[in-house]
Parts: sequence; structure tokens; C-alpha cells
Amino acid sequence: MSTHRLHLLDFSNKSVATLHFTWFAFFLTFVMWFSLPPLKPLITASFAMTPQQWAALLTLNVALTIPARIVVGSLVDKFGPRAIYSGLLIFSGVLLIAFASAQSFEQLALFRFLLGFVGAGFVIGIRLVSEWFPARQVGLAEGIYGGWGNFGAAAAGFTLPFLAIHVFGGVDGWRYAMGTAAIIAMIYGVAFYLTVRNTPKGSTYFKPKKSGGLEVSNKKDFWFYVIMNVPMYLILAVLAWKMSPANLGLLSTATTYVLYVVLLGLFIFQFSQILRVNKEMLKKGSVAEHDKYEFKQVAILSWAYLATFGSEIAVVSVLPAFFMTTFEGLSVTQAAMLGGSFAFMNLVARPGGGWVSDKFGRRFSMSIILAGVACGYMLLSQINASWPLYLAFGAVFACSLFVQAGCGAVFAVVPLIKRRMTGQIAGLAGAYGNVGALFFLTMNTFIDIHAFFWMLAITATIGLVFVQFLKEPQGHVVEVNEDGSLHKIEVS
Amino acid sequence: MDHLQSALHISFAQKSEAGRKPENQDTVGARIPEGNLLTTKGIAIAIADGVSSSKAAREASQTAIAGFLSDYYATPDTWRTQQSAMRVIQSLNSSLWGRSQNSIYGEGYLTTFSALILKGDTGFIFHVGDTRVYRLRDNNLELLTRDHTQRIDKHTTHLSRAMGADPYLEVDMHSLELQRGDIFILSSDGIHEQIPAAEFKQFILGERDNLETLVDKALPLALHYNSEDNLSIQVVRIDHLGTAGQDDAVQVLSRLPFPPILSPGQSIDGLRIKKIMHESTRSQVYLVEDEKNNLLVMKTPSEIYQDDKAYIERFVMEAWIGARIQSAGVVRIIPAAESRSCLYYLTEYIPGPTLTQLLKERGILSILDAVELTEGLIRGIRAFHRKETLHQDLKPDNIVISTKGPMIVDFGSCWVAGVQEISSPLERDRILGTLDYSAPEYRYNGKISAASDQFSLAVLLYEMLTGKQPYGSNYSKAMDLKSFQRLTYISAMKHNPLVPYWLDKALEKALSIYPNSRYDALSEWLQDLKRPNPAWLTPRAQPLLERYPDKIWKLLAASGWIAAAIAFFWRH
Repeated sequence: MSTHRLHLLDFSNKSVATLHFTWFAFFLTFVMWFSLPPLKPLITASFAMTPQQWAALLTLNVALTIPARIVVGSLVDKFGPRAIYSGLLIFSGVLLIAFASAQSFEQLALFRFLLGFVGAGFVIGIRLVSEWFPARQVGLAEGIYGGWGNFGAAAAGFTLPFLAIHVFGGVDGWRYAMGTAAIIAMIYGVAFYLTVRNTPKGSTYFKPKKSGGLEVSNKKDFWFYVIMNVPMYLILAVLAWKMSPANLGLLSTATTYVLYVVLLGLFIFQFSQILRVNKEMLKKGSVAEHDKYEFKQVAILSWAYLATFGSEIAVVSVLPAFFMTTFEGLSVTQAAMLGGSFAFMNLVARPGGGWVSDKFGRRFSMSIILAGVACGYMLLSQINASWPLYLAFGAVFACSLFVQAGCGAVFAVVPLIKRRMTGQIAGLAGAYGNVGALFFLTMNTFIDIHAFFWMLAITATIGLVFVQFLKEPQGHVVEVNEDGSLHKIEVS
Repeated sequence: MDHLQSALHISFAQKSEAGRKPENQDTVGARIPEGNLLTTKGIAIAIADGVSSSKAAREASQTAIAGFLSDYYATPDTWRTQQSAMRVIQSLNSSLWGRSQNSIYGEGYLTTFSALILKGDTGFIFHVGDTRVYRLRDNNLELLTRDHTQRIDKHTTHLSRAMGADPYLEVDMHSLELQRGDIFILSSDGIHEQIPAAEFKQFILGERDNLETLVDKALPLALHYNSEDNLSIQVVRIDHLGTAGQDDAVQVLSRLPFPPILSPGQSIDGLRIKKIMHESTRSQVYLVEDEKNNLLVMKTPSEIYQDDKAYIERFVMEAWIGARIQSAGVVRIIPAAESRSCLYYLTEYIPGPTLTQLLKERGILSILDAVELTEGLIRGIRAFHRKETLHQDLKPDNIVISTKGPMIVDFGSCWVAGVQEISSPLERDRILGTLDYSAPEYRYNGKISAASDQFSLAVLLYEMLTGKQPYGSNYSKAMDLKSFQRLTYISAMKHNPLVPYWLDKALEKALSIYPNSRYDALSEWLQDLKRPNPAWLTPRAQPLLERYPDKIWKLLAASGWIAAAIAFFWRH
């Protein structure tokens, strides 16, 4: 660890090896999570599904992720990232096999709902990577982890339909394709447990600090924070309603009411957690000077992440079907690949977004990126059968570049708001990404695809307005003289 | 250390007069230091009443007070308050007792003694005899000490305990949390014997606002009640508690900004970075060169922790701990030549491989080398223990093998007894050491002591001899007492047949899961490492009870039940 550059091919370096092991674990969770959209035509055919039912299935896929993040976060605190990541891989593999062998729509719905858990893998790796890299490299390492892992969504689009149609073939080809992914994930889960360590050998171990709600600085921010938590439960309630007899009829009336009550209970529980953490502050009215930060910053970033990561998840879910229906004569494999290409640029765009943000200023980069996202989605909304295929592909490609750069840019700012609370702020922003995904996919069941892209464009535009209120976080101002000596070290 | 500055403020008044006696045999005294001493030692107030039946009474009480007030402040900063005070009192007691024994007039140098030490937000009381310490909180006057007297008949009481009466002295001591506005009263029996308790309380309550008039009026009041004895009283009021508010503490701490991440070629405060020696998530370690071309090592905090106060406190403390420990086996802290522009500290540069590197190159070490290295490490660790400091994080990475022997190069996890007592507004990090090397008690919340460092040393020696861990890979996973109890020691002879039986036994003892079963002192362990312990010359059969404790007890219990059953059926 005495070199200060990250040599990604130096596998003898334990940190680098751990990074590779970890992003691949994340990659596999994404393959499993997004094994659904590219296989749409095959699955709908097997079950004679209505478009409504299919849309519901896509929504269910991301529903459980929101609460799962909290569960997984506390499990990691207790058992360490190594055990939890391999556990998650194996557990999800079992669920995916169950999904692949489902015999009714109800079973499909149930296992897809449970598979939402796999989307919470991100949190685990972030923790693991932060244990292994010093300050100099941790930003880049986490960018690689996030970006390369997200690429799993693209990989699913590229490989699964191919496996299903050309390798296995037949009506049940999709089942075997998913099963293959599941078995690979399970084997990898075991390998992960055997090779990866929670911390570098010989590193001093500190008892992890207890985390609950986020600490905020004043009463106004407190209520702001509480209100910001409402949408998470609201969107789940909408989903429950959607499954109720009033709509799709997957759940009985009684179950639906039970779910409402559970959601309300969860909200009250979370409120009590927030209250507990902030009790001292509420009594005094504000926190000490050095602990102050503006919650507004967190909210803006959360919105930006909702507009970028949230829309990415939603778009990756609907894009293969969109291509399939828009362009006549496209094979399942081709449509899936085109859809998957949206996640393709993750490899470079996400780390690139962080780099741009470091280099050209936070607010400026974020503004450009969100403007790009808005334009990109407007462009996508215009795609119709008259477009040449390569132009449509180009539009998707360009749009995805901005979307993923946006994810990277958000996470480049997160640690600068309040170092001490980086984990919790990242958690909230991440949760908003999932809220976005769930919201967009739920809306997808009500509106047509063009309106859907318009909605994404509008969300990004709102984000663009919000970002103008983002305060440029200050860090060091260090100047390096010609002789290499440093002067003028100031901290905000 | 400046961030621990105590802001303890008190008002104080005292008076001591002979009263109706010809000579004043009472002595009162106080020391109210400023700056660093106020933080590390606090304020000491003491009263002594020379026992009147002895002629040397006056001298005895003076010796006790003067000796206590000077010696207490001379104890090492790192000793705990109670330890410091007790050692001083015991040594004063021995000297008084010695003088009584040697007095050609057969005089006894006897005195009562009560002392109050105020430190940070805690008060400590040390008490022998019938002088008293009272506390007035709100409207309650509470007697905090118990008179050491024996009633013989209605009119006569005898002092049952006094300084100088016996070579062994039992001292009552307790500590209490202070509150703002608390008033403490120390008095000799000339005051509190004669004034009725209710009257005394009313008097204190009435005069609480002005301590000067309180002591001035107390003496005539006692005389009014026909006190025949010397009259002494001390009063102290806590005006401001000693714990610095969190804002203050952090402001002092964050005066120095964190240095940025540095690259070779850059320089800071006239120190040029030559090489990055080590980087971790918590800190960076650079090899630097000063203007006179001396090589030094610079440690800088990781910017991830910029607003983590507990981390900053620990970092500041590292340099302070290091500066206090002088030993050939411990790296020296180098004071910066220029004033620092940011937060870092410097140590001497010790060329040589770390123990990790050495073990990587050589595999395992010869028994002679390993024991010699361990001896050097023990010397270094004892320098820590002498200053009431535990290292807590001994591991191969923290040990550099220099030409002069092994050197301990890190203070990052040290625990200092005296400092922990100063309550800090920061929630401190709980260090659990390095999983493979730290003693079990860190993780099952047992009592941490010097024996915990002994355990880590023994793990190191075991690794030097075998390249393995003494409890296998499961050790680093155990987190509670139960899982530790399930572990069994793997004999070093299994991995390295050259390890003699007696050395293995010495390792096993130092590696006991229970701190109490380890060696009492590192010197005993070292002796067993260097010379075969006669008890362990040859493997002898272990008693069954030691070999299979649980089975034996289960068998015993079962046979008890069987016996009971037989007895039961016999009867019926």
C-alpha cells in the first residue's frame, strides 16, 4: 500500500484484489435484479400476461429495496460486509431460482417482490471498499465499485436473452437463463466468503458507532427531514393500493389494510429514531457551531440522485420493451441489447462524473449534467418508428452518459457536506434513488411511454432548478509553489 | 493536551487558630494551580489535626499537609488521582511512623488527615481520623466522612485511626461528581464537636454566600459553645465546573487544520516529503527530510476524519503519550523545529524492516532470536506500563527491527490511566485493537490491564516461532466471552517441533483467555522464556480435572444424581 496510484491490475495488492472482488459481487446483484426486463417477451408469452401485469411486476422488483437498505445496513454493522455480501448473493440466487420456476403470476409477483432485496447490495460494498482504501484513493475506488457494478444491468441485457434463446432455447429457455445467473451468483457468494476479508490484515479495529437517524442542525431542518421521509412510505402505500382489489387484485382487501398499517407503523418507528438522535438539538434549539450544516444540501442531492439513478433504474426496466414495440422486426436479443446499452456507459461515465465534479466545480458540473439529462429524456420521448435504429441507439447512449455522470457527481459531493455523517447522507440519497425508481415505474403503469420520458425530463429540470441553490462545499485551498512547498492551507 | 484544559473555578477561604489551647496543632493548606497542573492534578485542599496527646502533634500535622501538597503534585501526570494521592499518603504515613519509632522522647507523631482533591468535574476525598468533610448541595448539608473514633465510655472517645500510628494505614477514599454551586467544608473537631449539628447547618446556610465571613464567624461560634480545642475550617465553593464545554474543546482542537494529502517532493513547514511509507484509512505516514537533511517520520491524520472530534483528540494524544515515554525500545517523538501550520507529529526515523516484513522474508525465526526480540519488546512495553499507559495495539506492523533491537513505533491506541479520568465532552472511540493480536477482554468487555499487553506480546512470540495464530483463525471472529471459551490453545510444538515443552507452557500461560490466569508481571514471563521453569521440564500427565474439566464435572454431577436416585429408591 505504499504506492499512491491505484494500479488496477496489481492483483497482488490486497486492496485492489478486494475492490475487484467487491465490484463483481455488486455486478452480479445487478444482473439478478435486472434479469427481468430483457426477458419480457419470453416471460409474458409463458404466462399470457397483460401489459398491466407486466408493469406491476417491474414495480414490484424495486419496491422492497427501500426498506431492505435499512435492514442490510444494520446487518452489515453487526456481521460485517463479507458475511452479508456472500449471504445476500446466495439468498438472492435461491429467490431467483424460485422465480425462474414459478408456475403462476402470483408466484412470479411474490418472488420478484422478494428479489427487491438484492438491490440493497450497494450499501455493503461501499462499506467494504471504504475499509480498504486510504483517503487518497477511496473516492476513485468507490467510483469504480459503483460504476462497474451497475454495469451488471447492461450485462444482463446482453447475455440473458442470448442464453435464453440461442443457448437453451424453447419455451422455458428464460427459466434456464435466469437459473444460470442464479447459480453463478451462489457459487460466487461462497467464493467471496472464502477470499475476501472485512478489513486489511492487521488494521486496528474500532467498534462501529451506532447509527440511527440523521442529525440535523435546527428545528426547521428537523421537520424538513421528517417530511422528506414521507414519500418513501407514500410510494410504498401507492404500490400496495395498486396490488389491492381496487386495482390489480393481487392482494386481498384485508392484506392491503394490514400493509397500510405496517407502513404507518414503520414511519412512526423511523420518526421515533429521528427524534431520539435529535432530542438534544430540539431541546436547545440548535446544535453547536462546528456541527452545523444545511440540510437543504442533502435534500438537493437526494433529488438529483432521484432524477439520475432513479430514472436509470426505471429506464433500464422499460427500455427493452420500448424498443421491441417501437421498432418492428427487432429480435428479442437485439431489443434487450439496445435496452441494456443504457447501462453500458456506467463503466466510465459514473467515475467520470465524479472527476468532472472535482475538476470544474460542484454546482456548475451538476447543472450541466442535469440539463443534459433533461434534454436526453426529451430526445428519447421523440423516438418513434420513423427513426433510424442507429439514431435511436445514439440518443439512448448520449442520454445515459449524462444520467450516469449525474450519479457520480452526486456521490462526489456527498462526503463534503458533513464528513462525519457521510454514511447516513449517502444512505438517504441512495434511498431517494430507489424512491425515484419505484415512483417512475408506478407512473409507468398509468401513462404511456412518451409521457413517461417527459416525466423524467421534467424531474431532471426541477433538479436543475434545485441545484442552483446548492452551496459550493468548501474544502482546502492549497497552493503548491514551484519548488513543491505548500502554503495557504485553509479549511472552511 | 491544551484541549483538556480544565476551566475549574472555585472560591476558597480558610482559617486556623489555637483557640483556648496554648498551641495550634492543626494545620490547613491548599494548592490551587493553574494551567496544565490544574488539568492533570487538580486543586488539593487538606486539613490535619495533630493528635493532642502527643507532643510532636504540631509537627506531625505540618509534615502531613506540607508533604501532601508538594508530593502529590510531583507524581507522574499519567498516574490516576487516587493512585497518586494514596501513594503520597502512604509514604507520609511511613515517615511519620518511623519518626515516632525513633523519637528519643518517645513522642508519637500522630495526626488526622482529610483531603479533598477537585479535578475536572470530579471530587476525591481521602480521609483518616476525626477531621471532617461536609458537602452543602442545595439546602442539604451532608457529612461525607466517617469519624474513625472509638467510644470508650460516655465521656471519652479515642481516635481509632491516625496517620503515623501504624506502618500500614487504611485510608477511606471516595470520589463524587461535582455540581456547580457545591460547597465543601473541611473542619477539625474543635469546630464540629462543639457546635450542635442543627445550629452548624443553619450557620452554614446563612453564611453560604460569603465564604470569608463564614470562616471568620465560625471560630467565635465554636468558642461560644465552649470549644476547648484548636479551631480550623476550610470552605470551598465550586463556581465553575472543570469540564470544558464541547465547543471550547473542539475550538482548541480544530485550531490546526488537517494537512492535505501530500505527495513526494512537496514540502510543508520546511519538511520535504521523501516517500509515502504507509497509508491507511485513518492516517498517512510519510518519510520526510528537514532542513538539516535529517530523516524523520511524519504522521498526518486522514482527512476523512476532519470533523470527528474523538478522532482528533486521539491524534493529539498520540504525540503527547509518545513524548512521555522514554525507552530504548520505543520510538522518540521529535518536537517540530518550526511552528506547525497544520496537524501532524514527527518521530525519529528508524531504518529497518517491520516485524511483518521480517516474518515474510524469513518465515519463522529461531527460538533464540524470537526470545531475544521479545525481551526487547518487553523492555519497551514496560516503559509504557511504568507510566500507567497501555499500548493496546501491539502487532508486527508496529514493530521495527532496528540495528539496536526491536522498536515500538506507534502510539495510536494507547490508553493512559490519568487522562481517561478527566471527563471529556467527546464520546471517545472504543478501541478494540487489532483482531488477531488484541486480548479477548477487549471484545468481551472485560477489565483491561497490563495483562492485555502481555497477551499481545505472547501472540507476537507465537507468530515469530510458528508463523501461525495461537487460537487459529476463529480467534478474530470471536466477539463474546462464550465464543472465546470455546477456543483451545494450539500448542506451538505442533507447528514447530523445535519449540521446547517449557517454552510452549510459558506461551500458553501468557495466552490464557482469562487475564487472571496470565503472568502477574512481564518479568516473570520473561524468566520463564529464558530459563526452563522446573515445573514444566518434561510433559507430565495433566490432572484429569485440568484436561477435561467439563466432562469431569458432568460426571460428578451425574453420579450425584444417580446416588440420590439410589438413595431415594432404597428408602421406598
